[in-house]
Amino acid sequence: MKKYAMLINLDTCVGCNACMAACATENQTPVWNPEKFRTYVYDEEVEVNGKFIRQFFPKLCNHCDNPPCVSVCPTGATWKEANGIVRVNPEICMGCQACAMACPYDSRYGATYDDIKRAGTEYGEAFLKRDVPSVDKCDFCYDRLEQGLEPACVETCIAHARIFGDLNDPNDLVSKAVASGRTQALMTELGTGPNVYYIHTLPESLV
Amino acid sequence: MNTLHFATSLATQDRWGILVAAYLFLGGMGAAMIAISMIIHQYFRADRVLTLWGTLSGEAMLGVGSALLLVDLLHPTRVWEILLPWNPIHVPTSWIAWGTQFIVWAMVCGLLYIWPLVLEEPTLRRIPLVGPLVDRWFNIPIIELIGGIAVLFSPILAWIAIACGVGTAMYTGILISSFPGATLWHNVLVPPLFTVSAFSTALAWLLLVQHAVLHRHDGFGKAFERVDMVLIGIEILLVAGLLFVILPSNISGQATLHILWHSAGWVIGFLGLGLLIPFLMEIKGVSSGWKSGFPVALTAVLVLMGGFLLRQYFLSSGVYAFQWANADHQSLINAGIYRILTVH
Repeated sequence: MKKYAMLINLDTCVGCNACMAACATENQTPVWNPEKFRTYVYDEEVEVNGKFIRQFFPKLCNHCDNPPCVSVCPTGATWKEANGIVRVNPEICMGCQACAMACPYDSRYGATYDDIKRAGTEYGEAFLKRDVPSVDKCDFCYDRLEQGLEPACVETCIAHARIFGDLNDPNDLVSKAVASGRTQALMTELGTGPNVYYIHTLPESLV
Repeated sequence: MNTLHFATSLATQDRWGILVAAYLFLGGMGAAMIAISMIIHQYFRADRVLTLWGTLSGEAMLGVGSALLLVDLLHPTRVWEILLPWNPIHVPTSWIAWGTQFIVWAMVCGLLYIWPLVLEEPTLRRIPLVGPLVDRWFNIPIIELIGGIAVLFSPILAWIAIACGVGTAMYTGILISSFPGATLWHNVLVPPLFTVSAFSTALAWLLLVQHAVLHRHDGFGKAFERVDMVLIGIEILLVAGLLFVILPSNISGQATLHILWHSAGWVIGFLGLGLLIPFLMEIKGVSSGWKSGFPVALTAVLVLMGGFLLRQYFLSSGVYAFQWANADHQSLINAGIYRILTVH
């Protein structure tokens, strides 16, 4: 069984936001609201040794091993697949937003009736992927994975900053990078077991 | 080791606002009130009027609180799913699933328990238009049958209602503590704090009913005052534990402290008027009594106000510590005064 994960190389991300555009188009997210994205590239200035550097920071659902959003969901609308992907079934989500409250990564947003209505106009009624409100999130483009494709954000990334892989395959690049100890996940101290990893410099030996 | 440098941004949330705060307040208080009413009627021979006031107030609060939560849902027509009795079996880790069942069964068993008392209550027969019809309705065989069953199983019904009432009061706190992102929420003091506050506010409501509606100054009033004094004392200890032990321990908690200590609603409204003054007034009431019922009723109103403010500030002051930042992100701009730069 695969265990999907993503590696993000912070050194090569150029902040073009193509991943955000690809994700929004693929998953029909309400892009008219700047707080409602499945993935977001933050543009930050970080102080290191007295100098400020500009850093782009792509963020998405971490598909945690112990996802707090799954454990609080009262309807079972959010669940974790055996392959590690945390998914949402909009049809049974009642929109209590407890999952969004529980997510320490701010990776979930509420798609409201207004969003669904506008999505019909923007994306086309005949092509809508969901027609009821729910608390949406990244699912590593599950539909694309089933067709043997990579997530839209990974496929579109011009700098190969996003690398998608299988942690259960020891020969996978993501797997090797994580095993090297050079990667870092977000807020591991919370015990969520995130499966999105960040790295500054991808060692040549791994490429 | 390749060290990553992250900027930490601190942000509050606006997903759960005043409607959910009201739900947590009314739900906890209403459920505790049903539990207290069952206990005092079953074991301390409380009379029909006090039991009906307590139980029916609790039922109304649970109903209104649940309705407020329903309004807050993005997709309310799906709510029937969590009303199914077997739902928690499918999602055993979800406290909303358990809490909903606690609320439903506290309401159902509470109503069944007081059924015979309702049939005896002469006030119902004095209600204009409806009153004359009451006896006719009560003589319908199915209503009589339910009344008979309720009398037969009243101790069992009482204990189910008590267990579910306590469960609901606890659930409101456990739900909040299951959100790991904010230190204010995710700590062991929250469930006992919300439970104690639920029972304290329930007793305050009963004291208000005793003094402002029924104009009684009997033994129950004194007992309610004594127990409420102890509960508020425990609540003060738990709040102090949060403010002086839990919250200073990390950056999320420190940001929450910054918000709370700069909020008049928390410092004056909750800590002062909603907690410390009622505690002192109840000490005075218990030790030397009052010449009139007004101070007792005033104390009860302050406790109720404090109970609501506690929940409102809990929801609005929980701070997420995100390991990323963005000056353009509106939610982070809102928390901009708390933005700091750190190296992890």
